[in-house]
Amino acid sequence: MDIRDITFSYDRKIDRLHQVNAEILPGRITTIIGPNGCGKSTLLSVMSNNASARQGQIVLDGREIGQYRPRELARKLAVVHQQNEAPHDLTVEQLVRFGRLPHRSILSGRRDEDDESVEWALQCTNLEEKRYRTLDQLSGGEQQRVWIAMALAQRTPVLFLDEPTTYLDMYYQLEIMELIERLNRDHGLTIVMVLHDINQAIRYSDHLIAMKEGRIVKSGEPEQILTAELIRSVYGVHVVVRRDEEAGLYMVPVSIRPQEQQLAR
Amino acid sequence: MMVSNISKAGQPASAAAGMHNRSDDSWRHRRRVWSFIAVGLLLIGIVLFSTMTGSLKVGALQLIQGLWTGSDAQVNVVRDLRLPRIIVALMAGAALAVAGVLLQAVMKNPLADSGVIGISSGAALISLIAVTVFPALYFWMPAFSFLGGALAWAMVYGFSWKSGLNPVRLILIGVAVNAIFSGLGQSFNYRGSYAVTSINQVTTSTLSMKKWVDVEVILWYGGIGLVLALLVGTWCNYLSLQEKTARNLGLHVTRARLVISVIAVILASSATAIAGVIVFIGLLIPHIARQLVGSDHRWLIPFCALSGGLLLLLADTLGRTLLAPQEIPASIIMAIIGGPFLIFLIRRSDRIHGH
Repeated sequence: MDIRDITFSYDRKIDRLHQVNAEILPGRITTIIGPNGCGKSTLLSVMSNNASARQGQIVLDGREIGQYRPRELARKLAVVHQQNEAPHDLTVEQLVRFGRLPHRSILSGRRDEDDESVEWALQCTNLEEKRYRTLDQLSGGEQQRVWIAMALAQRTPVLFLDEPTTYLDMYYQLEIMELIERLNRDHGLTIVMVLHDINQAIRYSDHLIAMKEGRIVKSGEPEQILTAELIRSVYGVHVVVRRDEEAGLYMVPVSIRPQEQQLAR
Repeated sequence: MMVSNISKAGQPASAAAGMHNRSDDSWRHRRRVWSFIAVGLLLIGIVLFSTMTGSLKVGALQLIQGLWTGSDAQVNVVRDLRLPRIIVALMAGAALAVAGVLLQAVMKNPLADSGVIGISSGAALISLIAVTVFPALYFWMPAFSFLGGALAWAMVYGFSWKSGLNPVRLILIGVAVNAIFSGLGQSFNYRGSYAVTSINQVTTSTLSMKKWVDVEVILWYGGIGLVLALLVGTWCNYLSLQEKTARNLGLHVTRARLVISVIAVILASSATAIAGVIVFIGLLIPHIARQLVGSDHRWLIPFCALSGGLLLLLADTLGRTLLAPQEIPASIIMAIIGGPFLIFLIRRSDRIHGH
């Protein structure tokens, strides 16, 4: 997937993305990081054709994504949004089955393939035992897994996730991240996600894209690009970057004051 | 689509997992089935009661014999005057209830009702004009009223969509649109001529004086609308997700909204063309139906059709038997029940949206 020269604005006055160029590596986990309002979620919605760019192209499998019919695109690319809504009396299984829409026509009934995909999605997300629960009977982490399962039922090679761990506590955050990792390692899904937690981004990504004010500041493997200077220039936060034998590369935010003041103290 | 649903929940627990939750699911399913059966039985009962009672009473046996032979004068009167009225009430009630549930799916707003937001009065205005100017085109009246309904719908949709999905805002804009069209309708009616009294029934609905030609019209337009509505249940379900989620699942969201709206306007305006403006059915029935059969539109739409027909026929039957030989129009009975109900719904939605 290629992001070519994307410029985007909501109101035709202020550009939210300025000539963004990037490449999404197939079969890898790519994470977009950056401060609030830097355009990372905007970039994700342009990449999933939820917003159309003023200039530039998103090319998926040799075709511009605007050229795909909605159903075709939904067979190539699934998106898990940050916030979701659904009728409260829908069961987990019914909702996951919604993910089969791009593979069905109005007249065709249920097919084995649909059942298999729904089973697979429930299995991956560990929701088999909760299939007859309704959404309002689930915890926040379980609900997020349901939305991921619905996207998985689409059986797409590419999966986008917009801040999948926001609002969840530590345990559920790790549960989601490990699920995403498994989907990538075991099933070869190409993953693109937006994360707020830099340490999760370092730990689970093959490729990082750091954005600021609608531009890509730096991109590459976490080990290579993640430095205290990068975080300071992107977030304006002074951090220390360390390496631990068990945890690997990690960073700890220290202060939002410039480094000179830190030293003077 | 419905069959698959029945086989899923009707089978004895085949999956090993989730046994204990399954009972929840099958309980919901049983309640759905029983709701259908109950409404079906009530419907048959009220149809029989309504056919046999009134200013002219006929017994069940007499009715069947008379309808079969056609030689019983009393039964012939019932056939010519009362049966058309019953069928029109059933069809109009079904059409209005289903129109309500479709509009609510498109606008994501439980308060959308074709009567409250002005679609019915738009439809009534244009069909009033049409039937005055071209009285020969009676069979095409629903087509004219469709134009009026579509115009009103476009106004409400256009003005309220931008303000997000605020339910009360939709009602306010709907009330304004409704006032415009019913005001125009009344000024058209009161333009100083006694010749128009014959079409007055278009704006103030009574279901009396319905003939078999009315039945034919509403069976055609309403029937087509209802069949189409049954086909778009799945789309309605997807629209209950966020717009971008539905789009990423491959749904053509704008097209789905447009198609569902057109079906809703066909239903509402053909009911209005024949039965006049009747408010609140599209509000009451979908709300109660959701409590009974849940929010899956593949069940909700047929259930609304049945119970909408039941409610309007009930209102009409009460209206003509309570104070016989005087009649209270069904639309007035609906307004009396529906007004308090709308207040109740607005209060509820206030709580949900936290205003």
